[in-house]
Amino acid sequence: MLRSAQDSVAPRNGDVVLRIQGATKIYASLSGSATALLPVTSEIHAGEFVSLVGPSGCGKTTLLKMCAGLIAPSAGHITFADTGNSIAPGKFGFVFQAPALLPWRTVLSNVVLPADILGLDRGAALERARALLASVRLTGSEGKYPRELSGGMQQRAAIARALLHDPDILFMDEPFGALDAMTREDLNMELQRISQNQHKTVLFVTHDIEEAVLLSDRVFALSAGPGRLVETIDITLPRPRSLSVKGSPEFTQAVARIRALLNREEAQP
Amino acid sequence: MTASDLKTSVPQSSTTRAVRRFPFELALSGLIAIAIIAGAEIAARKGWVTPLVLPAPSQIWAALVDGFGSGIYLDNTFSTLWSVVVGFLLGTAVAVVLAGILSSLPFLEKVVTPFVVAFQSMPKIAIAPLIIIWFGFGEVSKIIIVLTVCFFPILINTLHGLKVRDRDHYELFKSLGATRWQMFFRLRLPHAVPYIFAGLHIGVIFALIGTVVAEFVGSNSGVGYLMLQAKATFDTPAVYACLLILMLMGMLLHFIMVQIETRVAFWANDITQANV
Repeated sequence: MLRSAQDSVAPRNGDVVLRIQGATKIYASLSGSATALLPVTSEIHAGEFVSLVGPSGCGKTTLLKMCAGLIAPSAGHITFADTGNSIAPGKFGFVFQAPALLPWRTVLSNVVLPADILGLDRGAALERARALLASVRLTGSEGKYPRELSGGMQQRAAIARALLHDPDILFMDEPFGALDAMTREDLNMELQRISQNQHKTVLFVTHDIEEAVLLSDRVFALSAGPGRLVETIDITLPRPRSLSVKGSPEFTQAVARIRALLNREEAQP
Repeated sequence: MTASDLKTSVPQSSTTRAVRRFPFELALSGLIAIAIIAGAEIAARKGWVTPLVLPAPSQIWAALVDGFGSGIYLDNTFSTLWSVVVGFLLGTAVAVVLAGILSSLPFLEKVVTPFVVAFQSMPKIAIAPLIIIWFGFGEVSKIIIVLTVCFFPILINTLHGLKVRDRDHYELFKSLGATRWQMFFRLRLPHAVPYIFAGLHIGVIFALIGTVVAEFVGSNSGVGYLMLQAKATFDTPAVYACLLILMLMGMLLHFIMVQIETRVAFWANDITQANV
């Protein structure tokens, strides 16, 4: 794992940013209760790229949203750094499967939204928004409206928005799930570059094992029925990784191992 | 990538096609209008229909020239327009503010909803006589009737629009720690704008209906009042002239609403062409 240790903002690289202790989610329904996620205990470190991978219904999005404090766990807790509380709103960025841009705002205005809500200095925010748009290769689209952009371009704008307030953690819920394979690989490389350059901690949900291995330092393999964390796999491929790494034996081995883990779980419910 | 991306944006090809086809359709509409007017003129002059039922268009035109020449039509047109605009603006303000309050307080909304449904089910026009009893003859009653009539479609549509349906948008705002106030002004209200306009389009025409009814039942000014007077003297051309004025007024109000909508809610798809 090649990672520069120039991160100056707290929490520092390697520190625990998220401590997950027995986090469980049970949804009450009319016919009783359904367990979405059995207790998960783990830690996520600053600067780390962690993917949650698994089939639909494995509770990966539930775990992600619990980490972000958007859903409260039914039991256990998830704490941010050494605060003893869940991460505060405004301290993280969230990217959804859909771009979720506001159609009445221009691209630039959408990216500035976090500053509007958090009451940050508008001039500085606009400057940063322009720089972020440039880094996701959207220079020239600042004044356009979301519907004038393609799906891939909208999702890039959504990533820029999630980074505007320099969040400690970036949560991503299948952000590239709705895109075609070419655009997806393109954005995978871009995301790696951004997360490396800005030393962001990223928690990334996907159902695509290859995508998870390509991007991650660690992969959490989850299985469904009921959702649970099966195993955590370290990915030690050197960085920066190019798409050609997908042909390497280490890559294929890692993918095969995770696939076997998930399949075995599926075979014996 | 950018070249192909631009193609997915606004459908330019269809708009240019529509513009190219427009003159022919307009010409056809014009032709039909001329044929109807000419037919009516001939029918009236040949005595096929009694002028009490259908006067010659030239007579209607003469009535219009006469009425506007003496200033009576102009005064009463302004009187009607004034009630429509003031009643409509007041109705809009009350409806949007009330919708904002109700949608922010779910408890209150649940309590008030049965009353809204009950009142909405009643033909609002029917309370015009009651309002005349309460507020007397004249402007005040007219404006209150207009307000009551156009209030409900605007309230219902605004309430509808203020509900956030996009879970991602909601969670996005939550993830940033948005206050209820921010959530309202930066998410729910802008989201409601196309819905509000749907209500306004209905409301503005309701306002015109309300004004005319108010002028029928209790007023001494306005185009509706003129019409009643013309009816009383069996002056059919003047009745038609008043109808023409009301029609033009309705078209003008609708046109203004569409112009405002295209500027304010431009980001919502196909707003101006949806109902064509």
